[in-house]
Amino acid sequence: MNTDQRDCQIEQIASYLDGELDSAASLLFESHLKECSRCATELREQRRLLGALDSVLSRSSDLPLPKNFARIVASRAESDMSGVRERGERGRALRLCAILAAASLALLGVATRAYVLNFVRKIGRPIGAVLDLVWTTIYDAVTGLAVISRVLSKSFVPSSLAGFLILALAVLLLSRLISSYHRTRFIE
Amino acid sequence: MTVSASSVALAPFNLAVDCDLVASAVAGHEGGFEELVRRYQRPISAYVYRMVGDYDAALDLTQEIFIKVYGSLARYRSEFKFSTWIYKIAHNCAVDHLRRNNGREQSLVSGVEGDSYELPIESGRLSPEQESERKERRMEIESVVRALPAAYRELIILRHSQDLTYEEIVEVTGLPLGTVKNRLFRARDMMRQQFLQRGITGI
Repeated sequence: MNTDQRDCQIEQIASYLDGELDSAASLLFESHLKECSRCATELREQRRLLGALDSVLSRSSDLPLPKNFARIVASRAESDMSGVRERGERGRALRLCAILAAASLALLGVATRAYVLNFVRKIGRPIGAVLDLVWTTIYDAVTGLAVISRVLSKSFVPSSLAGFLILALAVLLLSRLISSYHRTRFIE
Repeated sequence: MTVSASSVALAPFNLAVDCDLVASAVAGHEGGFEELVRRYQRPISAYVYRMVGDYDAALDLTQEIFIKVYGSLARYRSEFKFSTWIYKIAHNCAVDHLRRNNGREQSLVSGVEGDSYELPIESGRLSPEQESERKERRMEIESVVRALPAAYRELIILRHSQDLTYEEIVEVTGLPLGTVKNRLFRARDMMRQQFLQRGITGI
């Protein structure tokens, strides 16, 4: 006998077969199975599939591993710095490394002070000259722009909308003239 | 870390429970971590291999997983099952690997792959014909599992190969229970459709 198919919860079949339904839900589902041939057929098919999957994908199918894999992996893990067990231990190790690095640098600095100073002086002079030139150029350009804009603002600021439009038109025409001049030269 | 280190040295490593081995490894005793690796190397490498589909990559990834496990041992809490915890780390590594090698993943989905390895299975006493039939059936099933999208394939592997419960799968993957149930159902349905398309009956 078939029950109303709306009562069927096909997804429950998988949970039932996986043993994931609690006892009350299992009993309810089993009583439904007795009345529903659709679910009973589905259960048989799913059981067959699950059996096949279990047998093929079971734990006995292992990947062959190289000899002494566990020992090699364990010793690599234990020698890996990021795998130091305690956070405090890692912190102590890092502090020690920092102290040693600072001490090495200090000793190196004392031993090669003259060489390092000469090198810095030699490199520093041209770099300083270039930076000075760049700074002077930027300063001059900004000063020039400031002067030009001050003059322009005094002489050409339009007092009305018409004046502003004439100025905008003039700027537009000038830019077109310049671009067409360059285009003509390029074509030649 | 909530595992006491006092009971660590009482039992030989091969008889000790996972928690004691973790405590032993954290305390710096030699051999504790190696025994953990020995215990989990086979299931983890099989899981990883089925996820990435490449023998060499699976070995590298298995090694990377155990290095990460060792680095995180101090953060392991004994109220969680160690096997679930280690699968969670393996899941994260496998997902990262698949993201990094997206093109490779595409080839897996379409079922074409280069460096594949046929996983052996204990055969018992079977006639040559039965053996051949069984091998063929097994290869068909493996091929259908491989052709599943990674998100579905993983749940099938965790459930059928690693024998994890729904709750454990939820912990490992971080997916909601409803999604796990739904994906398992859909994955099995996809597989049945595949078997029908390939003309394989009796599954």
